[in-house]
Amino acid sequence: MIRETKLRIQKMSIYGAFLLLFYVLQTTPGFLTFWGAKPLLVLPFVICIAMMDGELVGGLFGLAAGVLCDTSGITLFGINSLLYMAACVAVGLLVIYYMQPSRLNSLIFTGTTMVLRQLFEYFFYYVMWGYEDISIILLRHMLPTVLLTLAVTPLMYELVRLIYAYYRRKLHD
Amino acid sequence: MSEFFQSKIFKLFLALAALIFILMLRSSFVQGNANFFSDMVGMVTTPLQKSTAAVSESAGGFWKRLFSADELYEENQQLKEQIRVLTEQQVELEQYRWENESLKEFMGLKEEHPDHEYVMASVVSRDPNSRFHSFVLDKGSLDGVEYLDPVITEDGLVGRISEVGLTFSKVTTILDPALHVGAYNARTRDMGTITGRIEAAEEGLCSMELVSRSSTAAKDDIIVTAGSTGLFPKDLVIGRIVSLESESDGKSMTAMIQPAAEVDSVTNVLVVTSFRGQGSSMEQLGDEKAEEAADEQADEQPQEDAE
Repeated sequence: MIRETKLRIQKMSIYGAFLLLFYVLQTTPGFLTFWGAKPLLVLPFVICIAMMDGELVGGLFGLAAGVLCDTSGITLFGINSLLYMAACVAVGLLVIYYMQPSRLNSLIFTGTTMVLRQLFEYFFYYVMWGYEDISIILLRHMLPTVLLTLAVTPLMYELVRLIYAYYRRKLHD
Repeated sequence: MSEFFQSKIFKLFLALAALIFILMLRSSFVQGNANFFSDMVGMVTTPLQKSTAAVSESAGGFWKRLFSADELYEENQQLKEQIRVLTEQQVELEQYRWENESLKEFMGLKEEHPDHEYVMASVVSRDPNSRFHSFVLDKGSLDGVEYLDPVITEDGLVGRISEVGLTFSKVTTILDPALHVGAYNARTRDMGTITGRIEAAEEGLCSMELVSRSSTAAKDDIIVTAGSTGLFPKDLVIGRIVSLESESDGKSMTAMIQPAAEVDSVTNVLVVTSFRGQGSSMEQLGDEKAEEAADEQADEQPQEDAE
């Protein structure tokens, strides 16, 4: 029992360390910038955790990822926290009851969350204020960010799957 | 699925959502100050981000030099410095010209230079979801940075502080449509408002709106801060006019401005924590001057009477 708890804590610590590392990398000026857009690294990572570890662990990591993004973002504090937490809980439940953890599903979950998040920002931060040329924000900033995030999602899925499989083997030994 | 909604886990997430919602409400009402969560996260992540930003900057510099001939790079640096010096000189010349012209009018008024206080800060993060090149600095309220403090480089105005945590602060740049800065043309003295435009921001430009139709403003004129709202010091260089266009109402013009500071790639900045006129509007300044003049008159009166 103690060994099991130890292994679980170890796994959570590794998830936490990776989450911090990905957050620092995604906010590092100039790092992974393509045509002025950067991928979100923490979102696909926590979505994949929710797929593998369920709604409780996923939801808590989703909340942590959201708080991190709220700290460096321009949007109102709490938007990312609430959205990421809700998305990860939903993903955890969907995988438990209706879907399988797979690379394709990780893309669907990440893509849906990203689109929801970007549309929320687009409506409340640009459409509502009546700025001109807001389609530029949508097409040249938000869309590339979504595509770049989707591009890194399979890597995140493989990473989380490896960590999850390693600790599951250890727990069964 | 229905058992989840009756479980303790659901109640836990509901409580967490309520807590975040309260923090959201607090953030929307108390603008400018980061909450407890942000401060804690900032304390952990800012030093890490500072290190990675430094590594990224060095790596970026390495590749830049590798792909461009060393001589050209040196020349480019020299020319940039030369342009900066010439811009400063031009502003100074325009300033002297204007001062000469209006010397008679303002004779007797003591010339006072603003007393700026600065905090040096480094850019530690640029979030993928941040638009208009906004960024996070490694200095916060513990270093004396406050909400709405202007952010500048040696070249000119960059933006202002939009949120302050204990060890970090967020900066909204002059390319952001949400930011408005009172400004004037250093040559023609035409007033206007500097703000961002989404399309212009793509090219790294901002706009000067509400310029009078009768203005003689032209390309390459230098735009500086008016300092009329008490949010920015007077006479900070903002940039240069690159083009002028008439507004559809026919009453005013808009000038597109190339910011003097490299807003999109800036790595080190100065936060102006104190300057003369900070927090006071033009009317208040006017009142102060009127009071000073009245005091001076009162001082002079007895002397005249004695004579």
